[in-house]
Amino acid sequence: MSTKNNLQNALKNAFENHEAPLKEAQWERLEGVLLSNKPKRIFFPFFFTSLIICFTAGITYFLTLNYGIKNEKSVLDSRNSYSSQNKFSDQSINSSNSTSQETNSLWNKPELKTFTPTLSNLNFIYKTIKSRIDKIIISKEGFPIATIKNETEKKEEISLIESGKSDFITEKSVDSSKDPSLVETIDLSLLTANSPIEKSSINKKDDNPLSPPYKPASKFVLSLSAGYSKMNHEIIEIKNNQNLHKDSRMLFEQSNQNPNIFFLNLGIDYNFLPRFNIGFNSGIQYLQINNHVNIKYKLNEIPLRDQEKIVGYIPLPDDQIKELNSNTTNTTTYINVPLRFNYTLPINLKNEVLLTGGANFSTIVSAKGKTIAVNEGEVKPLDKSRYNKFSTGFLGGIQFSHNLKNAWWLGSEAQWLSNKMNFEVGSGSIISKFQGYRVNLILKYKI
Amino acid sequence: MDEKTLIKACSKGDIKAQRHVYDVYGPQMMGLCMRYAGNREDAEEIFHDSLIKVFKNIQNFKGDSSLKTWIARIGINTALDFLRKRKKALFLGHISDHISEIEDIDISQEISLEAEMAMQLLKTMPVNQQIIINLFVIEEMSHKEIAAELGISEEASRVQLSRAKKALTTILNTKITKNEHQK
Repeated sequence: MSTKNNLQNALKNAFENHEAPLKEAQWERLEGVLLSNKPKRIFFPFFFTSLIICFTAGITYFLTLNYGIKNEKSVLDSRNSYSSQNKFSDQSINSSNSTSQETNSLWNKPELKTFTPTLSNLNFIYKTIKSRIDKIIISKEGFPIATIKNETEKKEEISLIESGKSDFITEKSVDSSKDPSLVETIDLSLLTANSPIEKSSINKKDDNPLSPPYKPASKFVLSLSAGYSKMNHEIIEIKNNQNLHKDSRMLFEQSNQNPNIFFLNLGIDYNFLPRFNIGFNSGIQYLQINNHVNIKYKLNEIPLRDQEKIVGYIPLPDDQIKELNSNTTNTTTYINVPLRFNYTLPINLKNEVLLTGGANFSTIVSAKGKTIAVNEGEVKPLDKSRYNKFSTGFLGGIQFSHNLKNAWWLGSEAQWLSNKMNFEVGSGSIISKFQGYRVNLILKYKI
Repeated sequence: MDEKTLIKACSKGDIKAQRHVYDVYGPQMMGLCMRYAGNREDAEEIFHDSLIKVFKNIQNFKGDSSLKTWIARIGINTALDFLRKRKKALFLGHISDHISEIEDIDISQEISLEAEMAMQLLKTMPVNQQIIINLFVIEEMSHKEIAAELGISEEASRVQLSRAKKALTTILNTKITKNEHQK
């Protein structure tokens, strides 16, 4: 009989697949460390925002491209419209018997009303005058109404324009009209002052008649927004986990499930770099979080503590088992102040897209309801002192706005935000990220 | 969840995946820690540190061995580090280790030991001999590998093993004899 390796075999077999039972506290301790070491997703919001920016920039690029084609077409249409109008004018007003009634009928022509005077258009008119029009009758708003042929005046006018002594239409040319009641004078400086064309852009001498009309961004924008929000708590760390009852985490999670959120935001945008469409947004926001809680918790073990640290649990006899029940709606209210940058991507004169991103500062105003304080072994009223007074976070989003009328705009915004929260439990605390998305409806007034 | 997905999720810090690893591989890891530490308290400490290392380095796991083997390897290294720190004199007493001490000794018959009993037997030995038994018998490492791992000579490893086997054989042979007498 070989006795070789009997001992080794006996030991090896004894420990083959040997397992030792684990305690839940071991996992809790490990989890605490793992959560605190979890790679911080600080760059995620920036990645998210970048993604939105790229997506929107892409869409806006194509929309703008399309708009450019449309705009070019509209200028060409204006030319055609203008030409047809001239034909009409030639026929109807190229006589000394023109009446103001005729002028009014011209004025009421829809294509004339759509002819918006811009520097580019005036440039175009100037060129047209040089080639084929003797004199232009123009409305106070700058709409060309009719032309009058007179070779002498044409030459005189063109020489004045070319020598720089004429502001396009002179008093002289108006005076020479056979029926002064038909014509309105136009002063270029008056036109520019009353038109949406900025003086700076006039001084720039835009020679391209196809350039789209430039409308600068408003310096200030006031806004009111409210909407739907889907947010939740994600626990990122449990401070002094070893001191807290093992069910603290579970109870916190159950007490903060699927909150109903209401918010109202008053905002102000300041476009400090209007040429680059870059602005700054702030404001004040009222945020109310409602959590309906219905928990029936049986406290059947009490912690065995070595000083503060929990080293085990002692099962309670049946007659000492406590029921800690909470069936209520917990309400917490906050005042938030966002500080964020925004970038406006104009789609056209009526529509724009805003990309926003920045910080969110929050302070708790009130907390009402009940909390199962398992570490204290009782149900306690919820108090705002359990929450951190101030918290900070990130918010970013994308907004689409449409011009309703004049300075009023209506928009919708999709936002993603995340705020770091702290909730005191026993001698420790649960740190969570309160994060999610919002969809807002925004009414804006551009000053 | 297959191993690759599990590793990927753990390396991203997915707490559910980490819990899964804990549940699947934890009990064996804890058994390993108990063998090296000899008591629950130290074993828990080694276990904790080991799993932290596992989750911290899981993205470096290349798949050359099974995940179970890789985790066990981390457990062994952590246990040895722990014992070195806690018991500094652990591997200092080898001056007297001499190759002439080595005896080819074994128990008289094949026996089957319960893990609990084997653990009790290990506890009767000095810590350095416990380690050699663990590394040589259970982990099946060669004396060369043990020497490299512990920073001792191969002879010292052989001598420690021989001493351990001698002590265990004495105890077990006594038990076997006693048992035979009772029959």
